[in-house]
Amino acid sequence: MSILTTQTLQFAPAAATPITLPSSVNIATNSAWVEFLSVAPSRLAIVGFIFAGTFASTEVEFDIGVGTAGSEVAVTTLRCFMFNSGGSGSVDIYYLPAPVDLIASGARVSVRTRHGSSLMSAALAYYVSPTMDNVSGGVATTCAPSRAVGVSVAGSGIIWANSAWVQMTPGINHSIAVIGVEGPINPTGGPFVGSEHWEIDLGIGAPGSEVVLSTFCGRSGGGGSGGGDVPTLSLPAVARLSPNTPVSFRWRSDTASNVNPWTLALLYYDSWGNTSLPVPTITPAATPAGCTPQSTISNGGKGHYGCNNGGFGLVSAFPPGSGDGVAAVHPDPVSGELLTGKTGIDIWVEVDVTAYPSGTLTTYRRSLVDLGDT
Amino acid sequence: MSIQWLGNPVKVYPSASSPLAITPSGSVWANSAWFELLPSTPVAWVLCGLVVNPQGTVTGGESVEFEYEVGVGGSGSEVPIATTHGYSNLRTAPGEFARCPILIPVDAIPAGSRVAIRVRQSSTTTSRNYTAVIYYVEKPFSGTMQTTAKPQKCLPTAAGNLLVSASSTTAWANGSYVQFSAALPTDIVITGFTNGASGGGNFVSQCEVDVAIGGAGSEVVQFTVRFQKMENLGCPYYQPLALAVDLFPTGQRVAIRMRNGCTALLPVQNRLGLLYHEKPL
Repeated sequence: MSILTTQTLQFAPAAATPITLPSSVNIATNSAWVEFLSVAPSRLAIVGFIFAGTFASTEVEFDIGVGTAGSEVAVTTLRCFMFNSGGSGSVDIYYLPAPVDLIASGARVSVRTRHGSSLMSAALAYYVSPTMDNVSGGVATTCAPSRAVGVSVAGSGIIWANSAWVQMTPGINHSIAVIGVEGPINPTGGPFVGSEHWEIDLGIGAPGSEVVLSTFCGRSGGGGSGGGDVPTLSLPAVARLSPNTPVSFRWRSDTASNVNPWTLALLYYDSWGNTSLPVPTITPAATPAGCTPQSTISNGGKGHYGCNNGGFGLVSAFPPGSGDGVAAVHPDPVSGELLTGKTGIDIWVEVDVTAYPSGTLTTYRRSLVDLGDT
Repeated sequence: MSIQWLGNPVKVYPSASSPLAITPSGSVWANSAWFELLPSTPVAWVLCGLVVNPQGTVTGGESVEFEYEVGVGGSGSEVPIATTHGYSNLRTAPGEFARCPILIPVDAIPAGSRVAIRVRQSSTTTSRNYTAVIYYVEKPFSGTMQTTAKPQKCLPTAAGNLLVSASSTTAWANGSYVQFSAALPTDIVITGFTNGASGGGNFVSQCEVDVAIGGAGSEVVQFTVRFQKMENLGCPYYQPLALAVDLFPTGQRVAIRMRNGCTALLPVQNRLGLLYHEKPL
């Protein structure tokens, strides 16, 4: 698994003033759509936004949609906390941990928002014809709660003592991959009361039985509502959750006087990725190239599968030139899964070769199947 | 293709207690002493990021660029495994800047390691109170999260970021390239960028920065970053890329240019730096 790329991030608009995003009444109400790209030049993978403009602190949801004017359909939703643009620091960049590759070539790309602030603007960041390994695999991002303010819990009033847990979702009815949470916000002002170190525990489990999934830490810059400029808090890599897993959070800080309610929402990919795709059956190809089938060898060896009766080894399921469009798609193994009782193992290989100085990337993929005749 | 994932919790050290305090050197860009974060890790750790504070409870009264360095090893034998570069203006350090995630977490803290942190800064002020917290994942971990044993480094390092100017006459026109490396000593992957002070006055605009390789006059853009600058209120002082860019081979000259939409305070300037790892990862 690699998070490297040899592709260049693109922006819409490029080398131009960001596009003004219409606002709505509140986070439950859609704004109008505004066009970012009239025609996608190829398949696109959405990375995120670079924000600008003048706005008050607010939770915002952004739908990225495709379709002609008046017929737009949302394909993915991003959510973050936008800190008052006039405060210390500025909300600038919101990147997803894995680009969402859901924009088809030729599509018209638009954005709408749900928030009650004003004069927000943005540039959209994306990759064209993504070839990188770390993309969502056609999975959209979304949030919980959605189209509603986040869930809140007040501080304990004691230095570094935990708040109560508060549940963000009782569980989604399918597997999800947790990105993180939107930045902490107090709906009536900033969440922080001064220069303050804080921690947020993300927990899973039923109320009263929460187990810490991960902990976020940070520091506010101080100054009343200022310095809480954290649009999102992302894990280093997504956390996979099984269906119907309740998710909660609690927080603590080094400031006893901070009993403000902190409000968060859960950000996630709506499945684990390509593991949810259908699992086709692999049918081995013909005898490997360079092999002349023969009968059982007589020198004590076993020979090669496909060449010799009782032979063993690996055979290319997809010979060179056959294309990888027919390659099987498998679920990832379950963590800790044993090979006991299994009849075979698939090895998929992808080699990315970059030619310098041109930077031309060539990707070679092979799928090898260990056959069960040994 | 799929989303990289992690099956273990991210943890914080120190957790639910005061951060590590670090006293800077009194000399410009000279290292402070190493300050011990903990004497021995119970298991191997993978470093995922830092939360830094360049001023603590002290109002510095001056803008400053600085670097934090996380090291592993016994006292006097510490080896840096990650460096972050930052900037604090006269305000109280914007919160967005406090978190310094490492895009490719560093797998270089064996079990039983002593972990220490030091800083260096562009100032001679020793009253500034630097603090640090790290976050990490214990090994072994499940999942597909990419890590590296190679340190995260800064370009430039132990020095102020380099001043890059946009066009002096036209909005969104490119400025001149500024050389960041005459010839890379090894292949690198670039994982982020850092910002320092503006050089040409305060401005409000989005900026695009091209990072290129090639000889002077023959530069070829390898990737572009975009960010928002808002007067003296801040900009992303420490910003990981969406994905690490693997287009910077040994021997290449690296140069950067900038453009933006500002027309009021030309030429607009920013101090820029890069975050990277050496290859092979």
